[in-house]
Amino acid sequence: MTIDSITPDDKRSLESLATALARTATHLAAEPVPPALWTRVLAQADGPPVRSPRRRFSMSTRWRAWLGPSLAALAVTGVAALLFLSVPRGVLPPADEAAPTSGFLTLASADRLRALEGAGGISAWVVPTELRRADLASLGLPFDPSRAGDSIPAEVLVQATGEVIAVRLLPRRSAPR
Amino acid sequence: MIPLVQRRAVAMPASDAILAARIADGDRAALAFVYTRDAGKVYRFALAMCGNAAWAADATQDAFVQLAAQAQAFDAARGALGAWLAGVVRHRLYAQWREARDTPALPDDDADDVDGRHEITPELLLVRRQQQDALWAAVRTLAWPFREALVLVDLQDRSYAEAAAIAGIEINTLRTRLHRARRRLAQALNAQPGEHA
Repeated sequence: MTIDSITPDDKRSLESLATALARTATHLAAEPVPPALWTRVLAQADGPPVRSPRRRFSMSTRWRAWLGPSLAALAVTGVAALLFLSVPRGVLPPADEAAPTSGFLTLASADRLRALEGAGGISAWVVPTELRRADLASLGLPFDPSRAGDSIPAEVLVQATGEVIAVRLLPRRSAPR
Repeated sequence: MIPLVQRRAVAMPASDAILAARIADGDRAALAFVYTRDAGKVYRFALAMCGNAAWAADATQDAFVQLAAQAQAFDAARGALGAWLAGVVRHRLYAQWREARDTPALPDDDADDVDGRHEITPELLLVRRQQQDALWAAVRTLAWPFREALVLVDLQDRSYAEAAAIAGIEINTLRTRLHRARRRLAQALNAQPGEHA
């Protein structure tokens, strides 16, 4: 025990303390480890991993965060499928092997669609375009923020008035050889 | 009863790096060897810091379970495996201490047994019990950084380098804290009625 820069009283006090600490250290060294501890270690080490409450909370929160957009996308897809079936066949582009046959997501509100239906059906054109991945968020779809600037081939359903009422995303075609 | 794997592992000679690698591969004998060698010191460090046997056991258990699960995180260049385990215990207890800021008394259930081995008189036993209680009470009044330095060096006889590694501080910082801890402890004991040593 190093003792410096202290008064004689302090020194006596610290020497006394050193004795007490040495005795306490001996006492501490005699403290036995609980006998069942090794069994507990093995049981936990070999048992199933225990998820922390924070992790459970995180997973739960994430699941809930995705639930809303997923249900919305599902509902929109259903509406878009009905909408696609009502589009006049003459305005559709020729069938393409790589293009999907459905998968339009409505961008117009349900009221707007009902209004169009009530006006004698929807006449629209499919227009090929490119969307940025960041735009997926405005459609209620998940996207990878690290690739927000990337573009995705898509087709939009444009009404005669120029109003875009639906969109569908397409797989990117490989470059021709 | 000591498990067979523990008894068999006692004679296992290996460096900490090799032991950690074997534990990472799922070698329970290597884990048992490290437990047999280091659990006592780790547990007693925890006990001295928190003063609660149940908390100390939990923290020690967590440290060895973490070793079993993440032995690859051990870096032999930064210290011994025992110091790594003590660091894990420290991390957990420090978080607990910060939340609670209140530690229960150190259990002294077997203090009689310890003193009994030295065949002292009942009067001396009583005095020493009082001294021990007084010292532990004074230790518990120290702030965490000072208590930690005192426990690691003075009560566990660890080297400055090892104690500094466990506390995650420079050796000079440890020296300063230790010096202050001793002075504060001496003052606290002097402020209590009766002699302590």
